[in-house]
Amino acid sequence: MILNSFGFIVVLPVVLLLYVAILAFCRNSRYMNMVSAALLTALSYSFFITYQPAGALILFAVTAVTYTFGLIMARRRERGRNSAWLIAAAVLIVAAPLVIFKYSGFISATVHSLLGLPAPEAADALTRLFIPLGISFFTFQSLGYMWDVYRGKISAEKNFLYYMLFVGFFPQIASGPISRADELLPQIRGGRSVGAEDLSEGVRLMLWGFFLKAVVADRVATFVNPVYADYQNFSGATCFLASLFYSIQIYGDFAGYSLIAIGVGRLFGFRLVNNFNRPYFSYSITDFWRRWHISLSRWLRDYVYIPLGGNRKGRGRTYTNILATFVVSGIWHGANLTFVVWGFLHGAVQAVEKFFGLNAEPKSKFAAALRITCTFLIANFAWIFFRMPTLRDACGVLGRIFTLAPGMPLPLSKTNTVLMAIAVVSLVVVEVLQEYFRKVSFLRHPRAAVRCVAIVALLVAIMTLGVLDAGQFIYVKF
Amino acid sequence: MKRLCKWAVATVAAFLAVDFAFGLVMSWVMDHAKGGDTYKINYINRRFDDSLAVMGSSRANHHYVSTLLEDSLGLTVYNCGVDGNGIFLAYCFLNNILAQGRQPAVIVYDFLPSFDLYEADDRQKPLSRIKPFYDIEGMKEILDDLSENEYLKLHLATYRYNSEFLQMLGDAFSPQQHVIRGYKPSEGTITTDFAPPADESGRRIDPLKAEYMKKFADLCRRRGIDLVFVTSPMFFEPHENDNFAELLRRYGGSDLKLLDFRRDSLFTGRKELFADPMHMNNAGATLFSSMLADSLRSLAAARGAE
Repeated sequence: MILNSFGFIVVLPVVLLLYVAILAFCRNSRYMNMVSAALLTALSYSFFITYQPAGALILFAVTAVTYTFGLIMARRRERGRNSAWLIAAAVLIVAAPLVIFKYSGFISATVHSLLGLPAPEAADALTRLFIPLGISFFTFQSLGYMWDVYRGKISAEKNFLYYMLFVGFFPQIASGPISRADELLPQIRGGRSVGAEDLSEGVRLMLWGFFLKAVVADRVATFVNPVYADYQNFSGATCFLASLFYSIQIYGDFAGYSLIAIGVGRLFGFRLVNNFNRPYFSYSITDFWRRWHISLSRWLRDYVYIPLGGNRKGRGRTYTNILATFVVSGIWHGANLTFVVWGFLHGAVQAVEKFFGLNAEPKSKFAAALRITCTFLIANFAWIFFRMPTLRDACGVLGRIFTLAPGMPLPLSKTNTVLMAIAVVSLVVVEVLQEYFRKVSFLRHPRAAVRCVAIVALLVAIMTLGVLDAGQFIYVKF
Repeated sequence: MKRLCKWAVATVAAFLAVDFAFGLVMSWVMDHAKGGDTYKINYINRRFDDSLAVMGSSRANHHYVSTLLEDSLGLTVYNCGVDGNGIFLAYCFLNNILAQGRQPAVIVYDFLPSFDLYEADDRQKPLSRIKPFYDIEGMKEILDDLSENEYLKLHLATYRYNSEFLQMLGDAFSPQQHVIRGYKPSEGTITTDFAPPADESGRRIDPLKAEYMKKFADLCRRRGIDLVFVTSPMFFEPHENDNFAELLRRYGGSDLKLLDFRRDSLFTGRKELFADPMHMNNAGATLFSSMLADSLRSLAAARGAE
């Protein structure tokens, strides 16, 4: 289940070979889809059970409940008896595991704190017991499906196997991307094939994902983690540098994961939604959310912002809806006030941008450069709330940044400094080339020999420069 | 698809060829390191032949002046302390030294529960230091204890020298680090006010670290190596509950003794002797090493009398 683990990398080619063999063997059979879907579902659940057996039960329960509600709602809709109470009940039932396992401790602590009472020790017992892997992702994906069925945008999926695969497809189960039913279900239902282009593109995406994760994110983390763990003893400049590097770390980590997931999906013939589009070149926070975690932004727009009224009910209501949507986004990320503040900041800045018309594209290059820098700095300071364990620590880091007090020397060896520089410069160069020059990468060069050399170079870079076995992706805990 | 398969095989073959060549080059570089950590780690694992080994974390690395101890004790001394590491790496070093048919008479171990007993996400740390020596007897078990399937991964040279090759190249062609018989002096003094460290006495014990602590002590007992645990001075006075001696007895064996210098008023709070709250500078290390030499002599005399 951990896409960057040695076990997964060893098992993946074996499983892929089996899958391709089955597709070839059943090519002309009417059972081909069923057989391949059964294999992928079994694989998805096997990976999940290996990692977290109890979590697989929750995944299955959410799948079964949303499948059943989907069918009921479709039938009632056919009979012209679409009712709001049904979708409300369905949402409550489906969201219950998420609330219980992820938020019960937080809710209890907040309520007790508001009442001025000490939180009971058992309040977060369930949260501490375990948080089902990817619960926020598969719950949101299933809720989106139900809403679409309720609104009549899609028809309910009748084949339970296909639906199981839609909710539990292994590359995206841990951290997304959150697929929409109208994108993924037709691919599951339709005739599947894996061509040479799928395989080579899948490998390319995965390799770049591994580079972002191991060479960039985990390398800069070797600087960020010790500084944030002991921020009181580092200077303001060091804390600020750590915040800049954390912005790079979270991007490398999550975009890396998304690319690996999309790449694995592509190996099996599926096209998952792109999750990132060079977000640090955004000219506003509004633009940032069109480029960062695209699948979640879309989900929040379609299933929170628009149902709340979007921008159709006046300016005041629009700003409130933006704020509400981003507070939901914050809470979705984690059961902590730090995430609420992080979401609120993003919502508030977008409301301000909308009010002053700053969400439009800048007209000059200078204005674009200025706004890109400002947007990056706003996102950067907001990440401090995202990263630190408590509001007090987040404010502590911010306070430290704006002091001139000296501190301990940078926790960096010369070698690590060079490795970090290589990682960050490589990332920046590639992103600039892609953003402004639309350069075709060497990995997709028309000449096969060039592609081969590029892949070997990237592999050697990952193996020699990367922090290997650094562990799980940041977003898996959400 | 056939064309893709052909290129896939060619790509894998090219990668393996590069990997093999990289392994040959880095192995040569390691053997020809003139200084720095590369020379030190290679010396410990392949050539160590001294009477006294200092082991432990960065606090061992920066606090024990080997030459001063050598002059005071009349023994050959090598400082095997490595930044950010503890009992896992110390056990590997001892295993590798013994596997070469050599053994120190005395081991001075700088004990710090954060590295030697407490749970922390640090099992990967020793790997970067020992991966190139995976062929030494007894290493497979240790490597697999630290990371699943590690022994399999080590067949790739790019993995073996991962992240270390730049340091190794520097140490072979232009060593920058000042290392004397393994001792790495820290420079500078404390110039800022630091927050005192939190009380760590409630931290959870890592069962694997506890197991390795026991194995380390047992191995020394079996081989007749005189094992002396020391906790070198710290800038801040320790918390009352931080009873390192008790921890050591509980997890290493009731016969283990600790020379604890953390409450020594000669050091506590003296900014001019420390580079940071956890590490003494060269002046502090020199003062401490001469005091330690006296303590070791007294200890040896007492043990002789027993």
